[in-house]
Amino acid sequence: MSPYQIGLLFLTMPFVQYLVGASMAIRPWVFFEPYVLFWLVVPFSWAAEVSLVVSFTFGMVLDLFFPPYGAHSFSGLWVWALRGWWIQFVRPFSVPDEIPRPEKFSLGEWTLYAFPLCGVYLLSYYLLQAFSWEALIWAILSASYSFVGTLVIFAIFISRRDAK
Amino acid sequence: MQALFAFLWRARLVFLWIALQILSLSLYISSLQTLRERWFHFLEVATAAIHRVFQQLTLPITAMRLYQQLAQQNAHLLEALSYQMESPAPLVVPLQVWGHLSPEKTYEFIPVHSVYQSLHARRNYLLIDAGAKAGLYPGLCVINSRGIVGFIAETTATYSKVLPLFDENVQLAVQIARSGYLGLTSWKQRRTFNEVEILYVPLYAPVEVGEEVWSAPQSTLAPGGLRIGRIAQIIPDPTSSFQRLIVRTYIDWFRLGPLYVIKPKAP
Repeated sequence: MSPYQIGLLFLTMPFVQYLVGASMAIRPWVFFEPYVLFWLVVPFSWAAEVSLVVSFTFGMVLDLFFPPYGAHSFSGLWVWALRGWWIQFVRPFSVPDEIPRPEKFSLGEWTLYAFPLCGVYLLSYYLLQAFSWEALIWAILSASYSFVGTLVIFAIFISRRDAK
Repeated sequence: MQALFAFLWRARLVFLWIALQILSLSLYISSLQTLRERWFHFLEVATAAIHRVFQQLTLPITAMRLYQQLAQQNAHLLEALSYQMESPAPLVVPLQVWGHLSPEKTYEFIPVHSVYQSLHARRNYLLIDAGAKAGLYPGLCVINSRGIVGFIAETTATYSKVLPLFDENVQLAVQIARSGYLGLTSWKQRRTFNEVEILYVPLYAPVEVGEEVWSAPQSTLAPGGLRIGRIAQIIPDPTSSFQRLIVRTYIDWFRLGPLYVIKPKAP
């Protein structure tokens, strides 16, 4: 993805979340939080330090909009850290030197790539705030619900035509 | 050193990630009141646990040090006793009053008698039957065979007025015998006879009920090492970072018995 697309996502995702997330939540249990998409599509071609700082900044912006402060950046950094490792399982036979490009994933690959990381994000985000069995169940349900949103945005706006 | 720098440079991304995670968690903890309180509670509990373990580990060393101190004191006492056996005239010295006998400093023990003492007053005092003619002067320490009674405040030719520890204006620098922590006696808040409060003992000082309290060497009123009493109660005061100790004195204000004035010997 090009930097301007990433910049657009950086700006629009918190607003989308702010406008749509609250109305689409099944309160008080299941929340709709598709902004995890941003951490998933930050290009692997960027220098790791740059990508890390951009991801952290995105988390901080979300924290400003949706307190408690620090929770989004904390969980987002986990997604950032695990996605490079996890993507090897999504495309195990790709050439080691080849830089992964999530925007070229098919919907199946995207599901395999994004759904567990979405789960990691929401588990981390919820359990940080309330460590209980209820929070665990809500986190899994919210992760599934948010993944659907992520998948729709991916399919409409991000997925490239030459996707496999 | 170069290898260290090379390692740090190689692992820079990991360190950056950890630093950002710590920053996020710090923000999160500081933004939530309950979590902040829990965090401080955890820190307190962890610190107390570490302190307890450290104390248990150092207990044998402390015991060994105490044993050595006792052996030294015993040697001093034996040395002092040997001097007394050699003295030409019989000398009545209330040896048990000393917590720590210092053979370098020599004192005269002038026997005196109580002729009057006040009871149940806020500013108690004691009159003794010796004054300037006997060589007494204000500031000298008065003891009996059990411990410190008080200090001479005024003298006439034949009488002296003694302010005891049970006077709201008397404050004496003391130390915990075992650990050496300093404190200050007070009889302002707790006016119970045969008990004094020890103030300004730090909260972290390891104090136990039953420990002995002596006059401190830093005291300008009494020689260091004179026995005062034993700790009966410990009242921690976390708001001021100190603990108050209630000390049961060895002396009994209602049964003083023979008294002595300690006077430094002229060099």
